Amino acid sequence: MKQAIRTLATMIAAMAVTSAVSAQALRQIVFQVYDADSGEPLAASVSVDGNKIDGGRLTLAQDQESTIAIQVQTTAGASYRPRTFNVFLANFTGTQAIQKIYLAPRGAEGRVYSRGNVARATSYRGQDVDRAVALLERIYEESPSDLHGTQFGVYLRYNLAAALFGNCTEKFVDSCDAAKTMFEELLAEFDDRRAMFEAERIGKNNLTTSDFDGQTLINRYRRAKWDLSRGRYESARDAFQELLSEAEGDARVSAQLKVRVGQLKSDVDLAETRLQSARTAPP
Amino acid sequence: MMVVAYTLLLLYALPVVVLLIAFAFSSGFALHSQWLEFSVALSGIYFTNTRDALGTFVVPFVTAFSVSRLQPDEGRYHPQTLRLFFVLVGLFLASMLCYSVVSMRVNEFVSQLNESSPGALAETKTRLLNVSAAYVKESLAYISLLLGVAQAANSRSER
Repeated sequence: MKQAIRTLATMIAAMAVTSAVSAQALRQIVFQVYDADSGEPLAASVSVDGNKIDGGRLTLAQDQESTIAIQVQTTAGASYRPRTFNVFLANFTGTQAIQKIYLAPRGAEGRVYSRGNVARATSYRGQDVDRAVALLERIYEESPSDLHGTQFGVYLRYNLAAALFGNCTEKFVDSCDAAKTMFEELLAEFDDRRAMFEAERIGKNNLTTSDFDGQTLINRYRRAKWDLSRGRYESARDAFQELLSEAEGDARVSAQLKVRVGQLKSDVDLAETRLQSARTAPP
Repeated sequence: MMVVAYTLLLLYALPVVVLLIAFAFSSGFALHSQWLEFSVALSGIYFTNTRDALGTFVVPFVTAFSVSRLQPDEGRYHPQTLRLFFVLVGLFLASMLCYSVVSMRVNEFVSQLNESSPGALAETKTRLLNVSAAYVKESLAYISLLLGVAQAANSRSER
């Protein structure tokens, strides 16, 4: 009887350990790929930092930093436009994070796009901004460049820039710089094409109010934290050091970053300590 | 008879007129304008229904009957015939202009539309090119018809 109870206790303990291990293994990012036109799931290949991941699941160690910065590449055959982007996830403490990625099918040769297509793509911003980005990028890249100077081009580029900024702030995709560049280009054209902007009810304030620099700083900080957690101490230290220098020179940097100067200093020290330990550690 | 002929010519040429107005009001198809949507709708109904009847039967028929005979004492065309000739030449030039601007800037035109279906947009692009090309050919045909009928009337008067 005692033997039976002992065996049962051992089995229960083994099950508990297995369950704990499973819970650790479940800490993962799941990349789900969809067709941007139809919204249907798509069989696609997903690579993270150059390495293809099985089943679109990136499993992280339990002691992994809660800040994640990765480069994602997605392809789904020649008929879809591949996408490559950096994504920064902060405070990832759960067991599973789902990252939806939309791929737009390539348009047929000579396909013409219209305001109607831009309006339809933009309408997905409230639902999933990445879908809007995938569709608007397709229209932008497949339309003849001389259309960019028309009212259609202004409408398209304004909505694409807004969607790229939305993808940066809502889904933490590294697209703030692209959005900033596009808004700056539109602002530079504003006086020459005033009638087009006015017809779209776009004012100069619509092109200047977004906090691109603040979001870019946040993404840089997340990238440095990720580098630190992945053992890339030197690049992490350099990035922290740059941010620290900027924060010491301008108080707004610290406010935009939402990180105090003292914290940045300790981040630099931590990266430096780990770098020295890695250098002195036996191979 | 002339009033009827000019009215029918105007009705026949309406898509060309509206396309040219749309070109002017949209700064060469660079701006979005309701005239663009209107011209697409108009060319659609003309191309599918109205223009065939107007272009192949009514307008040439009325044009031919509007030719006035040569005045017996003068060896020249009747002023009414000349007016009709110049109206047709004007229509030919307007259709040439329309065809040129449409074929040069058809992508700009289509890009300003609110339609989003790829099939409908491709069809609109083809239809705009076909409609504007058809007016060039047909207005030239009416000019030759007018000259032929006038010449025939002239010959009969001389006999």
